[in-house]
Formats: sequence, structure tokens, C-alpha cells
Amino acid sequence: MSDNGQPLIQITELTKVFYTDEIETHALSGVHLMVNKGEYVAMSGPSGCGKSTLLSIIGLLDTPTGGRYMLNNKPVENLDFAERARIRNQEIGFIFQSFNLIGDLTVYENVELPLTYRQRMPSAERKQRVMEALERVGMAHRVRHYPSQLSGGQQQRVAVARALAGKPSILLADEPTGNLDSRNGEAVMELLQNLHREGATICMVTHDPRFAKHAQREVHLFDGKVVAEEELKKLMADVHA
Amino acid sequence: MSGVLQDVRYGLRVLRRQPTFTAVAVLTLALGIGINAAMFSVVNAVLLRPLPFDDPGKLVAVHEGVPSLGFSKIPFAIPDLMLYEQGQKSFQGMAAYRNDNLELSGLGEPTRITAARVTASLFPLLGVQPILGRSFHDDEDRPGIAVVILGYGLWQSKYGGSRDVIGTTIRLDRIPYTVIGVMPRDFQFPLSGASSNNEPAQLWVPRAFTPADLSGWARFNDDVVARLKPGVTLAQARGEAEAMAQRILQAYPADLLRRFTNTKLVSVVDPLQAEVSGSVRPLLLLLQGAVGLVLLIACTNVALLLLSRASGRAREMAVRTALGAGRVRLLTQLLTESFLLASLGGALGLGLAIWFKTFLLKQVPAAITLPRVQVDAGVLIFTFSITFLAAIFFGLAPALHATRTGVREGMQEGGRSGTGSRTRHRVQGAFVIAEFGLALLLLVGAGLLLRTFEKLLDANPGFQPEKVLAMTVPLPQQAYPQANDVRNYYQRALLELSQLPGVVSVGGANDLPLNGNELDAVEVEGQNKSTTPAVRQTWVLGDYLRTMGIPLIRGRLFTPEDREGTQLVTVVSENMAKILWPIEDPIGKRILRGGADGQWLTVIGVVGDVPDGAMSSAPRPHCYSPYLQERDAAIAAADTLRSLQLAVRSRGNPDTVAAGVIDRLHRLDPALAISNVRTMQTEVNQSIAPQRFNAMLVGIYAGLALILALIGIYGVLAYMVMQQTHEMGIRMALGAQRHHIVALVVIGGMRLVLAGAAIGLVGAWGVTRLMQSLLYGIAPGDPLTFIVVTGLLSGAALLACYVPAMRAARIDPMSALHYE
Repeated sequence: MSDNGQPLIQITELTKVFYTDEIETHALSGVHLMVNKGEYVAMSGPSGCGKSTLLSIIGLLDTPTGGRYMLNNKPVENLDFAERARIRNQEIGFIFQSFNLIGDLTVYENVELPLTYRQRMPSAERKQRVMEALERVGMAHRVRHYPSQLSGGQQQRVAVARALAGKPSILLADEPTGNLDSRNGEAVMELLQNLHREGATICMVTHDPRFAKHAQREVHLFDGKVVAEEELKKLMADVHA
Repeated sequence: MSGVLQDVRYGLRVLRRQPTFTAVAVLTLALGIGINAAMFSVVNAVLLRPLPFDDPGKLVAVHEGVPSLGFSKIPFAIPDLMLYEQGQKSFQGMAAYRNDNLELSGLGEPTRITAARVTASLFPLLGVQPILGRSFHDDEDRPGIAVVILGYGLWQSKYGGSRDVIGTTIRLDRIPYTVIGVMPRDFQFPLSGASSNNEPAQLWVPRAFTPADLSGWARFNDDVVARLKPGVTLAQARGEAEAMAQRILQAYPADLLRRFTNTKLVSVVDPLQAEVSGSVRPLLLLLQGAVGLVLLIACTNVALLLLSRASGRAREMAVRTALGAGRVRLLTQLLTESFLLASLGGALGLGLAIWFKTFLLKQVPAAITLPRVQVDAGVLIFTFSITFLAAIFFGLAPALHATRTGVREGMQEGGRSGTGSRTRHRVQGAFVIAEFGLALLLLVGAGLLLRTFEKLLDANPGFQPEKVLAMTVPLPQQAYPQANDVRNYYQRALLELSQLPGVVSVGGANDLPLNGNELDAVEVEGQNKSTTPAVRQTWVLGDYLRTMGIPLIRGRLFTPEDREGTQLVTVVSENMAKILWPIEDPIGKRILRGGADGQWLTVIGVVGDVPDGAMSSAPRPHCYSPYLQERDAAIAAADTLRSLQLAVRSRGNPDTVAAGVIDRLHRLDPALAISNVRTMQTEVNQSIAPQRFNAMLVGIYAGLALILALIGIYGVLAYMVMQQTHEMGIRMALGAQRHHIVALVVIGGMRLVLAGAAIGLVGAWGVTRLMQSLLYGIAPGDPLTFIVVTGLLSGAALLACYVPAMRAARIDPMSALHYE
């Protein structure tokens, strides 16, 4: 999380088409996006606009149908499964709407999980990173608990710790407050903001304008394209009309 | 009642709606129940069904025995029987019988048939009447009375079932006998499975005690069956038997009594049912146990299926609970479905049992004669019972689990990673562990039996069976009344056969390797009598030992000069020499062989050990004597000495000389009924047929168990993978490579497998001790078998784990994350 201001994500003419029987669904249609290191970007837009699809492609969970995607100045749009998994593990930290903690693992084990996928990381280092991450989110006292023994807000903080433990280049958050009440939602947003202040690059999908305001920059999507805020308002008005 | 009917209707509808699940569960149960019912039909016929005689519980077999000489149970000597019968108070009646092979002539080609000589008291004692004609009169078991009762099979085959057979004459050993009766179709006596005289007869003639019989002390040839008096217990009869043995011993002639100074004569009374089933009891119980394990594994598989299905029905259970159904009501409904499944499996299993029973009986070695095996009321009750128990076994745990889920969790059907699914996984894991434990137990058992069979195949029989043809050549008393007639025929026969092209050598003996009959007590010159064991006695003629390929170790073999009037000589087996003269040279030593009129024999040679029973039995000390030195009286009187086994060693395939051999023998006496023409290799193969049968059958059961266990682990892992699709997605999102996912699934599965294997190994270690009597050449805890079986099972399980693991690794992380 250094070299702030340098481009981290460079997306050009990105397209994603889903094929279902004879129906083609254009989820993304020529998206251009650039995210610099240390930047906090919020992606918003109406339901079905393609923001989660875009986040999945950024997170290398999915591959684009066309266009270019450079991560850390390296093209990543055509990598194979193993290489994408390696980059996901080392460069990207995910925070999901539904926390996605593994119920059979303790808090400690959940946070440790991405580190276990790294080759030859000594267990002492793993432990240090896990505890650091948990302390950053204020959950170090719950290491032996299972997710079902935690509140929603606590679960999301553990999920943030898991994303941080690998010291990724970017944190990708997909509606991180979607399953939380407003108090816990605010707490998580504050946590992200603190991380950003400490230098983290964050890309967050949200449909809630209150939370989008926490970001430095807001990217609006509509029908699979990035649009300016004014244009989005106009388009939304047209839809409602 | 209406609630039960409603549950049945609904249950049937559920089963119809899920045809694949229903078919797999019903077939699995049918397999388990079917082989159990089939096996039970055999156990029922052999061990449980009362003997087909009047009040069979009162029938006992009475034997004599000299345990210190190795004779734990032997037939009676007639003088002993006379004393016993006169002195006993426990029995309503006693009957003696012995097997005999008679030449049947005058009805087409002369043939040898299995007969039984029985006292007139036998049929009334058993409470069985002929279906045609009459039984023996009380005074018909005297010498000179030639009457015969035919078996049903012989009556059908030789007389076409004609009722005019009564009063006609047949020739047995060339003596005319009048047919007086025909026994019922199912009547079988002597009973197979008994320790001696155990060949079911095709006809019965009176057992007439001759003066020689009545003075034949220590000639133990006749078996005895008796009926307990009302009110007399088996224990009382056994107590009396002990006293009778002492009384008999005191009546022995002085010279015979001298030889019993340090030994004890006993009388043994056993229930007749136990006597005839005792030898196969361990095997049958082992096989029934094996199929029981297969059923347990089948039930475990169905339980696993039901547990997997329970997750899909969580919402239904929650809705029913929300509408007011209590837990007992839900349990009743789910158990009703289990009973429906079990009933379908049971019905199909019964059909399978009929087929499998036929298959099973076809595999039974010829040496094992079974009573009529049928699917009767007992088998139906057994099938119904195991079906009921199976339904409880496989249905209860899934039903309890399915009805434990709360309404809220149930409504969130398919909720991931919840406590409910963790519990279900634990229950499924426990079932898989149990399944693998049971499968390993069976596989180790099968492995041990297979190794036993392999050891027997590799075992050195002590002789060279290849290229040896053997046959029984009995000489009827009527045609060969004198010992010289008998000797002359056999000597001429050997001479004729030795001149046949392709014949290397010929010889004769009263019994052959693997089929020893004659046991004798011996006394060693200058040694304590009580230490000498019972020895197998064989009289040999011609070049028998060389023909059979029994190797000479020391001294010399017999020559034509070892005949009547020369020094009495003997050749002993290596183990006999080691037992009797552990540190001395046996050559030149003398032994006293035989009963009251025993003879001193000088040892001239030592030959290799040869098993005289099954290949799996340890060879007894063996003593060979020249046939030409046996006394006239013995040859003239003893059936075994006028019914020699001739052996021919050929240059090539022994079957090619068979026709020539029979032709030459018939040239000497065209009416001879030469029987049992076979190669010695066939004898060896038949000797190990029971072990082949054991290994094959337990192997089949273990194979089924393995397949079911593999289906079980595959099914559980496939289900778990499906349940954990979302978790796999999370792991992949966090950077898990495909091999991480494969390892996760495989390790999860193998952890269960190895836990099951550990439990199975401990169980196998204990259970295989019970198989000791069925093994040969290996110990019940044979480490190689345990290691190989565990390795094979684990390897197969690894493959079963690998398929769902690969499927998990191919999950698209995006889809998995959205999977709910």
C-alpha cells in the first residue's frame, strides 16, 4: 500500500456478455476505469447496472468477454485459473455483503485461511499477520469463536480482517453494509475509512448514496457503462418517467 | 389408524416422486436382505431345522474314544456295544450302523453303490417307516438273512418307481437279496457331517453281527445312534456313559487290557443334531456373520441417503411443525417411509434370495452334503425380522435428525454452514466410519481365506499327484472268499497294468493320500506305551510308494521279497520317526501294531509325510506295511483289505490310460464294479475345494461390502461438496488453487476412511481369532493381509473421494459465491 498516485487498475473497453440459451446479456459494454494506488472509489448505480460484475472482473473472480485489464501494470484479462487464484490470494482482499465466513472455522482460522494458500509462509508469520489484522478491526479477543457466535457487525469486521491479513494491493468490498443495521453499517464504513487513511486502496460497490459519500471518488454505472453523475441522474429520471 | 394409512399413502407418494432415490435404496436393501435370507436358508437347513425323525431332540450319537492316543471320538467295537446295551438304563433303544460299498449287479452294468448295514432296531428308533413294503423284522439282523430296503432314488432310477419291486431280487456283492421295502424320498441315513460312517446310503441291509464281530475287541467300526428314555437328560446319559466305559474296559481280555494300562477308554454321548452339524457349524456361522455385516453396510448406505435427503425436506418438516405436528408425529411419518422402503427391499430381497440360494448351493463342494435347503416358513420369518430391524436401523437416526431441526432454520432451507448441517455432517461421518470399519473387517476375513487358499495351492502335498490315476477295485466276498483269491487277483492286476503302454509304475493300497481311513495304536519296543500316538496304517502292494511319488528319506522301500513268511517289516513316515525316535536311527527299530493280536514289525525305511485328511490337515504319523504280509484272516474278513485302491503312474496325461486300465482289470473279472476312477490331481483339487468355496463366498460378500462402502463414501462426499459449494467459492475467492480444493475434499473423506479403517482393524484383530479353524499356513493376525487389505481399501476409497474432489475443484467461484 505504497506508491500512492500510481495507477493500480487500468480498464479499457471492458465488455462482459452472458449467454443463456439464445439470449445474450450485455452486462458490461465498454467500461473505462482507472483506480490509483491509495484511492478510495465507490461504484454505484441501479440494480442490474453491472457493478457487481465489474467488481468480480476486477477481483479476477470472472473474466471479461473483451477489452483490457491491467493490474499493477500487468495484463490480467487472459490469465489461467491458477494464476488468477494466485493474484487473488496475494493482491486482492475481498469483503462480501454476506460476510462469507466459513461456519466450521473459528475466527482465527477464517482470517488465517488465505495465508494457508500461500506457499512457504512460516506459521509464526501467519500468526503475526492474523493477530495484527484482528487487532486492526478490534476482534482479537474473539479468536476462538465461531462465526455463528458473533453479531453481523462483528462477522463483517472479521471478514475485513481476513481481507487485510494477506496485505493485498486493493480491498474490494461488495455492498459491505448490505446485511447490517445502520449502526453496524456506519462502524464498518468508518473502519474502511480508517484503512484508507492508512494507505489502503479500496474499491467499494454500494447502492447507498450515504456510504458512497465516504469514498474519494464515485463511479456511476448504468446499463453496463460508466456515466457521469449528472448523466446518471438524467438517465434515472428517464427510466422513472 | 387413519393417520397410519395417511402416512403410508404419503410415503408411497414421496417414494414415487423420487424414483432414483427409491430405486437405489430398494436395490441396496434387497441385496443385503437377499443374501442374508439365502444364507439363512442354508443355516436353517443345516443347524436349526430339526432332523426329519420322530422326536429328534431325544436322538443321540454314542461313540467310544481313547483321547490319550488321539482318538477323541471313534465308532464302537461290537463287543463294547453289546456290553453297553446290556448295562445302560438311559436309552429306549440303541442301533448300530456302518457304511459299506457294495457291488450292485443284475440291473445293467455292475456299479458300486453306497450302502449302510443297520441293525433292525434303527428304523423304529428313528421313527421312520418305508413308503412301500416293510422295515426289517427284529430277527432279520442275523447272518444269512439277505433282505434289502431301497432308497427312493435307487428305486426311481433302477425300477422306475414300480410298486412291484417288493419281493424281487437284486444282487449285492454277487449275493441275491430280496427287496422288502422302499424308504421315503427325503429319508437320508447315515447323516452327512457325522464324524464317521457319514455317507448317505442308497440302500440298507441288515447289520448281522458275526462271531468275528462279537469277539472283535478294539475293532472300532460301527457307529451307534440311541434314543433317550423319557425324563432322562443328556447329562444323565453322559454320566452313565462314563461308568459304562469303565465297565467295558474291565471286560477287556487281559492282553488287550495290558495295552490300556496308561490310557483311558471313554464313551461320548452327543445330540445327533450337533453331531451332524458340528463340522460345518463354524463355517456357516462365519458366513452368516459375513452377510450380516453386508446388510449393516447396506443399511448404513440407505441411512446416508436418507440423511442427505433430509436436508431437502427441512422446509417440509418445518412447515409441518409450524402447522402443529409434534415430533412423535413427524417421526412416525418418516419411519413409515423407512418401513415402506424396507418392505420393498425385503420383497425384492426374497426373490433375490431364491436365486442366490441356488447359486450358493451350486458352489458347495461335492464333499459337503447338505440337507434339502429351501425357502420355508423359517426363512420367511427371518426375512421379515431382518427387514423390520433394517428399517429401524437405517430409518431412526435420519428421522431423529430430520425432526430435530427448528422451524426457523428449517424455513431457511439449504441454509449454508448452519449448525444443523454440521450436525448432519457429523452423523454422516459417523455412518461412513462405521461402514468402512465393517467393510475392512469383512475384507480382512476374505483376505485371510484367500491367503489360506493360496497357501494350499502352493502347499507341497508330500507326494506327486501329477500323472497318477487311481481307482477303487473291490472284490466281493462271494466271488473271492479266500485271502489267496484276493491277493492273486490284485497281484495279477498289477502285473497286467504294468505292461500297459504309457504306464510307468503301478501299486495298490487300502487307502490313498488325502483319504486315510485306518488308525491304529502302536507300541514301541522299550518305550513307555502311553507316549505313543495313534498312527495311520496303510497296507501297500506292488510299487505303491514310488507310484505315488512319496519320497524315500532313509533305508529302503518294500521289495517283492517282503511277503508272507519273511520278517514283518514296515516303512514309517518322517514325522512318526521323529516322534518315536527323536534322537535315534529308526532303521531296525521294532513296533507292535494292532489290537489284542498285534504283531512286531521292523522298521526298514522312512518316507516323506503325506496328509491323510484334507490338504489343510497336519499329516499324522504314518506306518506302511506290505499287503502280502497281512494275515489271511484279516484280508478275508476286512472290507478295506478286499477293496484296494489301485494307482497307475503314466508317462503322459493319466486320463489317456484310464480306458486301457479298466479294460485290463475287466479282462481278469468282467463283473467287477470298478469305481471312483479319478486322477490324484483331482483328489488334490477336491481336497482344497472347501477352502476355495470359503474364499470365494466370503470374497463375494467382502466385494459387495467394498462396493457399498465406496458408494457410501462417494455419495457422502458428493453430497458434502454440493452442500459446501458456497464454501468452495469463498475459498477460491480467497485464492485457493484447485489442488487446495481437491486436498480439502480428499482429506476430509480420507479422514473418515482412516478412522473407519482403524476401528475395522481393531475389530478384525478380534474377530479373525474365531476363524482359526478355517485357516491354513497363516495366523489370524497375519500382518501382510491386514496391511494389503487396508492399503487396497484406502486406495479404493481415495479414488471414491477423488471424483467429488475434482468436481469441487471445477466449481466456478462466481457461481459458487452466488450459490445458496
